Amino acid sequence: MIEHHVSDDLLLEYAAGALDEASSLLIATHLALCPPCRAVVRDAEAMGGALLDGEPPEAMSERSPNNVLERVARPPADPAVRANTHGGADRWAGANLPQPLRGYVAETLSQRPWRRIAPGLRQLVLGTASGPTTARLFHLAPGKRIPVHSHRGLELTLVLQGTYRDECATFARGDVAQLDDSVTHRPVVDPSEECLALAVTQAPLRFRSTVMRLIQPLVGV
Amino acid sequence: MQALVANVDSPEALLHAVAARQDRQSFLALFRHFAPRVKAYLRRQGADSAVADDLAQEVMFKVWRRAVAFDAAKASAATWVYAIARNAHIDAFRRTRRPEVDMDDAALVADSRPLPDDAMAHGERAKRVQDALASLPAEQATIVRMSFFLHKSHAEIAKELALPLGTVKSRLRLAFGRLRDALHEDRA
Repeated sequence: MIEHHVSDDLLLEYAAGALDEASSLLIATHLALCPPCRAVVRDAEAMGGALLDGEPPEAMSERSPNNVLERVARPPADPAVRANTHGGADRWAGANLPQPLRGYVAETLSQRPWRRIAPGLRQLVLGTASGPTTARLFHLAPGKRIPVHSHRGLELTLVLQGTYRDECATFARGDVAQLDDSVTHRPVVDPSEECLALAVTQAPLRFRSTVMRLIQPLVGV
Repeated sequence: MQALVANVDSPEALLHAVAARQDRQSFLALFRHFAPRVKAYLRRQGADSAVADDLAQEVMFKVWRRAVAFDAAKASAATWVYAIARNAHIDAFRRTRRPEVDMDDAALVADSRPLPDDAMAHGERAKRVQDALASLPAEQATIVRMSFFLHKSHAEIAKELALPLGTVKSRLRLAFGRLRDALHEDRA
């Protein structure tokens, strides 16, 4: 049972097509695991549908209906090439991950491997459009503690396997933690199972310890 | 079946006819209704007439191809076409991908609550949403339009209207609440 959902504000922005690719990826992946949030997005899209229906029509070119009918009469080309869902040997490319994330992970893994950034912590920066946000998968060893940090701008984290907890709550598969710069936290992974999480950040994390801040550019978080 | 025939001209029924028997007349009726509106929507994004015309054709092509996936229990035809047009716009103008849920994915968690079996009533519900939208205070309607039609983020809208971000979010939430009430009024 998912306990931590995406805020309605973000679901509205997703439904409106107003979010960047990395945030949309996280939200779409949460939606695959969360029927109640899917219902919110469906309702929000109805606002777009009503706007479209109320739009004063603008005449189409005379040829246009026949253009489309001629096109649909042609045999379909190869079905849209979806990102490879096999993902080679890496087990995280397997069926445990829902779409659309699975496709992004498989595509990224065909270009670069996971990167170890600290003991018990690996990351895979996913191939989304460059911009102010970055989507990355974190793989954390059982019991791993992340040093105390806060965030510049909004950070979204979606748990895909295992659980972690911080000072406020426990997060399991499908749960989303939505953090802003007012929150400083220290997540700990459950000792019984490794944890896989998708994080979307608007800016680098801000560690409280000077040492972590100094090595941050080297480890790339 | 007679009950459905009464609604044979609704966009939802037309989409079903395209899905079930590739009915060209039904498609042309859909085209006449939606293509000029999709074109107008794309013109608002700054596309010139020829580009908007081409892209509206592309959207209608997808409407034909994906008609089998249309589920009138989940959305009205207008809402479904809106989602296709929105994604085509993101692809074409923003040149980024639009991550979407894959409803056929084995890893998808299915909805355990049954959807109401009133597929054909959806057109009517769409009308109610439109009425609710038309009755929104101007300050809410403007923000709904900037968000869903111009695809601006809440932060961008706040900046453009010189409003606090919280005001933009709360106005949008109020508008959404009204529309949800209109959508689910018969389920209360």
